[in-house]
Amino acid sequence: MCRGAVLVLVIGAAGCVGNIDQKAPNPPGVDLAVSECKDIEASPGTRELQRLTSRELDRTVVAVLGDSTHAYLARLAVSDELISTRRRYFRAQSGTPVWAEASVLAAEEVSLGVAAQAQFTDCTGGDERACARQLIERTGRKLWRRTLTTGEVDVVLASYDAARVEGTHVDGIQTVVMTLLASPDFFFFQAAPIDARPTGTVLAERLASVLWQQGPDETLLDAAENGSLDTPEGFGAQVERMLGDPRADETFANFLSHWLAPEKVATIEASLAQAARSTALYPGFKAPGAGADGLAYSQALTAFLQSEARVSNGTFEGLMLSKKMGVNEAVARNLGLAAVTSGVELRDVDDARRAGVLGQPAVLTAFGRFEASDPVHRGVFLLRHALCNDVPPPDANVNTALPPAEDFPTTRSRFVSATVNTQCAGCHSLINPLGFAWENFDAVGKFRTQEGVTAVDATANLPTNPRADVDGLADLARVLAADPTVRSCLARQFSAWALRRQVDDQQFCAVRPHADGFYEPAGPISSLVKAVLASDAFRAPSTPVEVTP
Amino acid sequence: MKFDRRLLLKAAAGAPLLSLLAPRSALGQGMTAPKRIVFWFQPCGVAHRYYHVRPDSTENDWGYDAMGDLHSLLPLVPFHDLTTHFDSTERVATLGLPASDWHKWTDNQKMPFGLTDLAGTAGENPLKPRDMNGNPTREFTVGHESQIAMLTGRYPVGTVVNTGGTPGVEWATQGDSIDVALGKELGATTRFKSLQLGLAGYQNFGLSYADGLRLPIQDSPQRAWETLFMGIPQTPGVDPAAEALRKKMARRASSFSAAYERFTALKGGMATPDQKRLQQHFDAYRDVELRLTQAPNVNNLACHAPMDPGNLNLGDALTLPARMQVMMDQLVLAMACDLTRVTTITWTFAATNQIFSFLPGFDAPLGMGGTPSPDGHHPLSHDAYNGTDDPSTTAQLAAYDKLRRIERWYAERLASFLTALRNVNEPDGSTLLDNTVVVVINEINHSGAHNNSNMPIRLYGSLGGKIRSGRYLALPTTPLNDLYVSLANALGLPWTTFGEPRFDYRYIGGPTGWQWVSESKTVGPIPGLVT
Repeated sequence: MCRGAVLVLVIGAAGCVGNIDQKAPNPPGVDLAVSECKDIEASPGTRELQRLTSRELDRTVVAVLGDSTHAYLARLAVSDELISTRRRYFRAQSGTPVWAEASVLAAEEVSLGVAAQAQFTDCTGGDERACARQLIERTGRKLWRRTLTTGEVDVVLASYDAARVEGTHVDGIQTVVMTLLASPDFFFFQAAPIDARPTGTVLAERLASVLWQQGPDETLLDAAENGSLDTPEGFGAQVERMLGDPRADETFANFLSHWLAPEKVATIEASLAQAARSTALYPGFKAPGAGADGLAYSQALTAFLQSEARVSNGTFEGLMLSKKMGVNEAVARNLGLAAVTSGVELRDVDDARRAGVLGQPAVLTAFGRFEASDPVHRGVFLLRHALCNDVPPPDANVNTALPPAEDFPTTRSRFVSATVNTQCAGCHSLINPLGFAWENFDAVGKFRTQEGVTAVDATANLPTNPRADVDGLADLARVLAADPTVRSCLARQFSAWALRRQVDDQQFCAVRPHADGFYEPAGPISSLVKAVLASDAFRAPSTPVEVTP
Repeated sequence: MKFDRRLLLKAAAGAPLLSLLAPRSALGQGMTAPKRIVFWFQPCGVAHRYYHVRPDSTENDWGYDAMGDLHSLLPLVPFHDLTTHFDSTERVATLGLPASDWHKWTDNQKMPFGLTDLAGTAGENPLKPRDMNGNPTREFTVGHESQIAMLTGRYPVGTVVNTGGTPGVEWATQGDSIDVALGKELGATTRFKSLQLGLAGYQNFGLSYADGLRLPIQDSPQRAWETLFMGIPQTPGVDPAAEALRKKMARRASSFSAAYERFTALKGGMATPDQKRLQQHFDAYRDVELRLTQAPNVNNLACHAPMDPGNLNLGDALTLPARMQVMMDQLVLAMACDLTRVTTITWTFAATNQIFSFLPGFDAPLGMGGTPSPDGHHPLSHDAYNGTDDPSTTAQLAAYDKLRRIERWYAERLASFLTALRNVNEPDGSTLLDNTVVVVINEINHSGAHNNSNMPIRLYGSLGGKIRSGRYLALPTTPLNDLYVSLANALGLPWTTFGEPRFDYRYIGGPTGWQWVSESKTVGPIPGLVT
């Protein structure tokens, strides 16, 4: 009977049934920079009519109508769907009664807020119906992401007239805004034309969705409607403008928040919100609930990402190797660092062995477990999310209970003992080295050189191609940052996230030829984003297909 | 005769008592209360030592051995006569399946036994070759995941995907789940055809499906409250906000008509697949339009809205008991108001890491050497077994005891829910519990073996005597679809089959596992379960 610790992974990929020896994966990675996409025919893939996600709807509404209650996020997040059971990125396409009710009630809630603001309802000395028409034209263009036809304005105005039968002008304005938001024109993307490249506002709303996770601003709408967006120069100029905007950074950070999430949660924030630690081992770590340390950790991570992984000037190397860390009160307290004066400070790392995004306390904690540290989940994260190796979960009959900690001097020796059995060794020869290299950090991200009286051993022979000997997290990060497999893996996931569908080899190969810049030593993040936008997966005419839900 | 205590207090406080009581006499005559069903899902299998009936149990003379007050199901003893406790003939013959049989199960060397999630455990894996006769090799999917077909009773369809690493299989659920299918039949006049409530909006795997579309779960008590009780006053017949709500609903109605015009206009220029997607959304709007634009007809005196539960922190384990209680209270009233007749209520989710820090001792070091326990439900459920064997080490036994206490806690909640149902009167003088069956389901049986045979399913309620309850039923190998047919029959639906019409399985042995054979089990009601 084998002992392992892959508790969370007992579920998951269906490829795990059977004899584990037969499916023990080879070390991942060939020289991807050379051979990747060589023998694979690129295919732009198919497309489906999708809704904007709750985050996109929310950001649009906040930008256009100033909704401070975030009604769309609060009500519609439950209706977003993962694009697959194996990828955590979101799309939104299925219409269920739960969605429909949330959609209408969110529209109503926002519209009631609008009706309370004079800037939307004032019609001093004017013809109230004409004011309503103006509002529909002005606000409708931003919400529907295109200029409304007269007939469309009339349809919306009819709901104003209906509301006026027994209500005031304010009631009418409220109804108009509710109608604009409750219409499919607001929550659906415009259907791309058949057998023609998406242009104009169809292109603009997709662009704004990838770059800003919201509807286009007026500048982009103008470019879309006067035709300049459809020229290569005009498109390039809009992309540059939008990449330089903080909204692009927020958006890329949101992608990373999904990339960094452990299995079974959508985002790293969700994982940290639930982070519970043994009170015996970590008496100072504040449990889930209001003021939880996990939430403070995620704020520190955000500060790191918004400085070191900006789309405008950030690089893949900076993301992986930055010598900065986000520190706030919770981080300082749990890690024994000097106190912060206020908010989050971006400081130099406390030890040379801490590096990049993997060294941020939030990431170290998200993959921690209840106990001292968690080399297995950390290793599985790297294998699945950084190296794109879908390591299977253990067989159902594998005993995943850990032997008692007190029988072992260190976490590492405990996990070595638990996974040494031949039934486990195949996968764990890949998993364990990737996790052991993090051993200088405990389950709340504190640097350590000792476990009890024993020195921590963070050396590992990584299953990369070629194999690499490392000592500690900074070393590990250096190897990963230089490995084209890791860049390719991140690029695949970004493609799936941005295109909102499963991206298989053929579809990725539509993106890859445009991404050479990202594979260069520094690897600008913007070059990855631009690669997706330049690819046929984003630009080519495509055939809509029916996809079973 | 029972009265809703809250209602009486309200009446005493000045509500017009006569108008409250008037509908009772009018509706009490000749009106049959509707039949209802609740699927109660709790995850991660059971702690076997504390789950089963005492060894000498027979069909009509059965019970739980208290084992020094340790048995998980003791809180449900008061409902003995309304209980149907399922088991397998095989387990009875061996008085507790020996550990060696769990090994056989995980090695594909054992026939399914008892109530079995056949659809969920064995779909055709497109990565596996067919057998020499061209029939699919029915392979097990991994335990927890099987729930994607547990309620649909249809094999999921697998597609191979390759996203840069090893090829994997994505499983697509087929058809309607039993709750949705029942809702379509029973819910024509109710506000919700079927209702999906729970504690976590994010789920590893789906449970309820409409035509293969996974249905989201409402996990916010406040949103559920708003959804359920919109337009229903807290005091029956007395609603000072009624006129304002009527106007609000009228404005919604005008937005709905404009939206429908836009749906139609957009659909015109679209390709067929896009049209279908749009139509799906249009239908969803139609589905909710009535309840958002018209206050419901209330014909039960016990029907009233509860208080707004407020904004409870959904991420906080410490609020879990409160959220669960609110959901149960709301469901009871929703049933009293006849807002829905079919509900699936999902407590956390399959393979959850839910921590139970509100239970005493769940965040403290264990006895031996101060080793802290990982208290997530799923990790605990594994640590509680020695692989597929019974627990032996101190740590395993401690985890096993925690698993037992989680199940005991769920049993206490269920007992309180059944009690609440019994305390609410129907217009015809019966109680909600008289007209309801609660089906306790779980995605697996044995967390060590990830076993989907002899599923730990129990029924509570007789639906006015339709279900011959108060029995311990040891069954031969039986697909869940048979149970679903029986439940539909008990609810008055003349179904003869559900989901896959036949389950063709036979153990061949060796690496091929189960085989698809022509002579097989035809789905139909479980004999004798329903009168």
